[in-house]
Amino acid sequence: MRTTFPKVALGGVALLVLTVGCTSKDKGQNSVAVTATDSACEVAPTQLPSGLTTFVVTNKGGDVTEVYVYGEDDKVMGEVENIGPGTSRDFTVDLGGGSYDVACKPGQKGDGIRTEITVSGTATTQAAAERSVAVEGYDFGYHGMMGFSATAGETVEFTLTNTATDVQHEFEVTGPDGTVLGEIGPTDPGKTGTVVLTFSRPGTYVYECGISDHADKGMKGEFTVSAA
Amino acid sequence: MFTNFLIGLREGLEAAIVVGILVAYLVKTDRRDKLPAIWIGVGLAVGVSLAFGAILTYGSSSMSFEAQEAFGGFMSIAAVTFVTWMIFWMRKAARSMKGELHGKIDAAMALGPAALAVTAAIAVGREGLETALFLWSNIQATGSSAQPITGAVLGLLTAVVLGYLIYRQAVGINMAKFFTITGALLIVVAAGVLAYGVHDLQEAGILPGISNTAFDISSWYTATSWYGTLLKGLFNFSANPTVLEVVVWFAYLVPVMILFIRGVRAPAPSPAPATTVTEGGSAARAAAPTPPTVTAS
Repeated sequence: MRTTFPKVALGGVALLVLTVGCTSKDKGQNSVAVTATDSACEVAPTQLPSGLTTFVVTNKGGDVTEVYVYGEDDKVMGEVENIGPGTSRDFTVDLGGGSYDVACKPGQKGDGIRTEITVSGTATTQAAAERSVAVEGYDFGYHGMMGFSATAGETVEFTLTNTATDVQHEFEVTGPDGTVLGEIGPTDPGKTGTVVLTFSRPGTYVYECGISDHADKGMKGEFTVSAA
Repeated sequence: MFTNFLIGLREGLEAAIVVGILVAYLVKTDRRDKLPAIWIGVGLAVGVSLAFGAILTYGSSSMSFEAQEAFGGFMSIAAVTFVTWMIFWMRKAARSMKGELHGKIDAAMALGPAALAVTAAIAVGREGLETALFLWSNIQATGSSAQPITGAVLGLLTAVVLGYLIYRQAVGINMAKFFTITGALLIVVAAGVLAYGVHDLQEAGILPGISNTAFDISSWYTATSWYGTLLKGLFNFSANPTVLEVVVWFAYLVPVMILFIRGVRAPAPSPAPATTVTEGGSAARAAAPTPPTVTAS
């Protein structure tokens, strides 16, 4: 009894560790950047396709913080606690279609500073794109966006082809409220990438390459989304 | 840097105290030869936690928050089981000892090396994964600043120093007082750990009632202050516990403390009728100034 109890318990704990260890899953294909300060919670992008989403939180405030993703009725979808000032942590959640609140809680208490994000229907066919636009990214500018405009509520698929020889390019769209709507991430020379975006608000949208100084060199432009 | 220091301190405090008491127990019962068992347990827990944390931080796998909370919850319950078992085991051993500063206890009464290693390992490993993830994120941040990791490590070292101080204090008091005070302290710590474990399981959705808050003093109580850190690190005090947490805390603390004190006060049923049982005596001495000799019949 004296020695069997701890041995059995040790076996139980080892089993538990193994079981839990094997439930780890891969990091998400979608990535959301959360910048948490003592008084703000910046989230980009705020519109995403559904699926495994990794939230990368950077604490730029002075207090320890935690970040929660709430679904309907404040159901906790995912969270990460104990993010010390000046550090980053990430967590991955499987999100289905719907709207969610990302809540930053400096001091790890209260309801938090909340930002809403919208996840569209399914991962493969997101709100059926009504039209497609082919964009070519080169050093340093875009072809194919000239004269582009849309109406609020429209869903457009953008395909970026990088025709440069040895530099990666992106296509990132920012909405009239200043938050990133979505993007085609760093794409290798000769490769393509797509993103499907729904323009829910009217206003002026900006597209640019977020890599290095490409935007300053000319990989940048605007288009207007008119009211429906 | 101070904030990260407080987190490091908080994470390390409880484990440092439990390990400090375990080491004191071995030293006082003349069983220093078993000390390696404790260090093996501590080393294993630290190593596994850091490794697991590194995989989650630098690798491409992630662990759902439910899995993390479930892990923390079950580990906390395991820790409470071990610590409680250990407290009562030590109390049984105390009965057979006189009011000496140090002394050998019956070999049959000694805590086996496996029990020591596992208890130390669970005390350290219980919050080990969470602490490891916190440390790795601080190390990652050294690209921009070394302040977070410096603060965190200083916090952990301070916890170790405090654990060492507890050990020094414990080693200097007589046997009876040692078992009584450390036992009572560990019971309060264990109650906090159990409540915390229940909270984790509620967050994981395994137990219901996560939004059923018993009280909320977070409007004035700052958990991230120095006093909040000490209360959380030692007693797992929460500013907004759930009803189930509070119920469990009392449901554990009250019966276990009563059982413990009763065992400490009552004369041990010893086969030698002339034995002076000092732990009952010291408790009585504290209550009323009567002669300490209690003869067991």
